[in-house]
Amino acid sequence: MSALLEVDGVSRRFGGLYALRDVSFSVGEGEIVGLIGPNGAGKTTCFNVVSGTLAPSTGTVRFKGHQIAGLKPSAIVALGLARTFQATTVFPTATVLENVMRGAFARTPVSPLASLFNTGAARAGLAASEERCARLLERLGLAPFRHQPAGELPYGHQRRLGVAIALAAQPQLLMLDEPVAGLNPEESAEMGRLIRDLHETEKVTVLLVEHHMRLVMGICHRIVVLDHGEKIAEGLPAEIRSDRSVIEAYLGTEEEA
Amino acid sequence: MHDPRLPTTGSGRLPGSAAGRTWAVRLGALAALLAAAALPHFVSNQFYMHMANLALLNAIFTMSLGLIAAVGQLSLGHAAFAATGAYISALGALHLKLPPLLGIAASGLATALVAAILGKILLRLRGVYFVLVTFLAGQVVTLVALNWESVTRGANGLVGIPPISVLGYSLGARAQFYYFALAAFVGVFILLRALMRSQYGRAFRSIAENIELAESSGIDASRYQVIAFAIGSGIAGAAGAVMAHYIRYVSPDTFTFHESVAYITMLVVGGRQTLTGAVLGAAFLTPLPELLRGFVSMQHIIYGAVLVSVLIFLPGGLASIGHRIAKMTRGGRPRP
Amino acid sequence: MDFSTLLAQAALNGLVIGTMYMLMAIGFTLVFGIMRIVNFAHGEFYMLGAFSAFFTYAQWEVPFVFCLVIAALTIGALGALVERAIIRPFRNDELSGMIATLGVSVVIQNAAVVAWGPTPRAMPNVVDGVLSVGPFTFPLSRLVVIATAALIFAVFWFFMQRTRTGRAMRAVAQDADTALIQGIRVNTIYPIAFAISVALAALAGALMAPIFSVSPFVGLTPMLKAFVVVILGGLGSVPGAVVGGLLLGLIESFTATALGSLVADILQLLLVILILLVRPWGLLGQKEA
Ligand SMILES: Nc1ncnc2c1ncn2[C@@H]1O[C@H](COP(=O)(O)OP(=O)(O)OP(=O)(O)O)[C@@H](O)[C@H]1O
Ligand SMILES: [Mg+2]
Repeated sequence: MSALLEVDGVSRRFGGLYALRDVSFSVGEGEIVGLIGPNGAGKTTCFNVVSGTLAPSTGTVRFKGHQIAGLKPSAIVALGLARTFQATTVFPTATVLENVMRGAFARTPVSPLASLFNTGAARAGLAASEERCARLLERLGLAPFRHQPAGELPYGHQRRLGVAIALAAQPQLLMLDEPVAGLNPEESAEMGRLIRDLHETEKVTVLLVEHHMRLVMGICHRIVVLDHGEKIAEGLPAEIRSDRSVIEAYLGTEEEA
Repeated sequence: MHDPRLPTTGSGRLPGSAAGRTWAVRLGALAALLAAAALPHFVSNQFYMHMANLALLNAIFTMSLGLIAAVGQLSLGHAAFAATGAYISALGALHLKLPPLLGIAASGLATALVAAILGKILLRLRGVYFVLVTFLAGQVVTLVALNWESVTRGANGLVGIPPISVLGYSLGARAQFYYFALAAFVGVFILLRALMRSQYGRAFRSIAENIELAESSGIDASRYQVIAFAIGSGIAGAAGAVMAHYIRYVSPDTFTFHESVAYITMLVVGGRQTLTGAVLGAAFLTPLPELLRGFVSMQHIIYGAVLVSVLIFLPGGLASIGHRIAKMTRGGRPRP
Repeated sequence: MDFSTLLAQAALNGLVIGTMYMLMAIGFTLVFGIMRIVNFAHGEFYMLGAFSAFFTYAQWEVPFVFCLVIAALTIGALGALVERAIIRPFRNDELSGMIATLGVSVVIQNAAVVAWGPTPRAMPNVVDGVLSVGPFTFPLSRLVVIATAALIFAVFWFFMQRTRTGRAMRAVAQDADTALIQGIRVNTIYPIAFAISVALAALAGALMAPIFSVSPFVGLTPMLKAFVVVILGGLGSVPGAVVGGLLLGLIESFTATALGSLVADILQLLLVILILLVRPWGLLGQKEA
């Protein structure tokens, strides 16, 4: 199994504070890897560094063999790595379909210049892209809302739309930042099924940040644990569950069932 | 824009009523254009013609400012680009005998180039910081125009700028210039409309709405912001040159901070969201001074008061009135 | 006139202008720090302060101390009103709030033109005479400006450090969310902050009225300088505004003597743009966490 993503010795400082300190791990093609840790452990910072939103202070990140640390987010998406956000997830005033079309920007086979002149080829390309986005919405159960402004959707649907926007970029590696935070139990279970389903049918590799331990333990092949910016453990779900240092790190922070 | 809640038929195509509305809009636009073209035949008052010309030029300034606003950045130095373009074309005509049309094109290209280079640097700043830096840069341009007397002739300005001539036909008279301004206006409108409907427009709107998410969707925010800034500023530069050849004069007072504020006012009052908004704002606010002829301060007070009231009570601007009414009437009808 | 006298004079002038910049910049930065509003009307409150001093002192011959109090109170009250009526709707939209202040600025300035006409008016000095120290002589009027400005700043500083309201304002500036959780009421803090901010601008205007002339257009330059100072000192930082203001006044006074003021102004603006690009949190300020 070749590594799709390799994070190697990455540190990130904010002033005097190390949000990440010398973190290394890898994600193999076809895996579902969980990235867990208490609040403030550095999980989101790790996502930001990998997706190009932040530059690492030191260290390297490789995706499909390309050195990507410090590249622009847009360039990293083009390589096939997409992520969702913990908080802001959608374009609120745009319609649901438009949201996904924006997500598909890097994969729309139309040069902006051609679309400016609205050539036949450009129209065909945009129609194809729209077709694909419509199918994606269908698949995520969002099709009935496609002409509604995203901001008017119920919260659970907005979270799902966030995933749809990332998927529209046709990523090989999908990074999800707390996809079930704030969802009710049914919605959470549904999101879990969706992730597994995407992994099985689309062969998407997944890196998952989540506090919902049942979900993480249930679908991840492997788990990486961060605490105070440092990697404190890595292993199979069963190993992590019984790992002393992990239990200590979580002690005192309310662990979600 | 079609209504998001309308039921769709087949593969997302709109039902007949919306298609009919599109046609109504096109017919309306055609009628407006014909009426505009016929205007000089009905208006003999030179001052009204002058107002019409200024309204067309202001509409161009405001639309181009709107393009920059469409990527979520507010430029408080828009008039500085107009001034730069005006000086370039005026100096070209006065010293190099450059034909005005060439000068205007050169002004547009030069200001677009300057804006592209400046934009790469300035657009790293966002929100109020970008506004501040464009404000300061605008002040620099005014001060340089005042101070570089050997070239700009300082506060006296450049006089005797030749009028635009097309194929040897001079457009010095107001009614003749009107057709040129109208053509320029229509050209800019069509260009910007195509731009906003293309993938560029999609990128612009994404960036304005949520820049982080836009970047994670594969949209290179800084690239598209620079593109919008360069095109918008380039249009302002060319339009500034047109203005210089129309009023035949340019000085540091022609395009100042106050003009930048006036364009922002027109944009906000008309509506920041659409191209039509910019046009409405210019059409509404340019002739407003006419009501208070000779009482300049009163005009300004009204400008400021209108700006503040629209911001508070009609944040979508004049362009949103139609939308609001449509929403209200639809709200009264039961849903199918 | 020998060189040392020239230097002493430039230093004194620099200090006078510097205190004015300081008062302007403190108010400007205060409102930005607390309300996240860039107030483009700040210079107009300076102008109103100058007019207030002109009418109360030059025309009605009220003692100057009371002129200052009147200017601060009336214009501060006007500021609170402006906050309530015009700024408040834009709590969560700093760009629209800033555009609104542009509108306010246009209205105030032109209302002043309508009411008082565009012609500049001269105002007599508050005190006459000079102070001689060794070989140097200083006009008392300038020294009074510096002393008064220092006193005003002391009062302001005391207010910010020692009163409940002042502490609440600092808390909001430091971390709005936490301050709100602790029960600080924005609806009382914001108008007070805005009132204090524009009262400081009015005081600056009143103090400068005898030195410069009084007209509806005198507000633009002080506002521009407040921008410059605040960018030097860091948007939102009061100590930055104090140091930056005094420093800018002194630097300007010396360079204008050497270079001519227009060139000095252009260089200054270019420098500030550069600083804004490289260190948007200010030359003296701290990077935000
Ligand atoms: N832009 C930033 N500037 C300064 N500090 C930051 C920034 N982003 C994160 N931090 C700090 O870095 C640390 C790690 O934060 P991060 O958001 O990565 O944690 P997390 O593991 O995602 O936590 P949570 O489970 O709450 O989402 C925290 O102490 C946070 O305050
Ligand atoms: Mg997080």
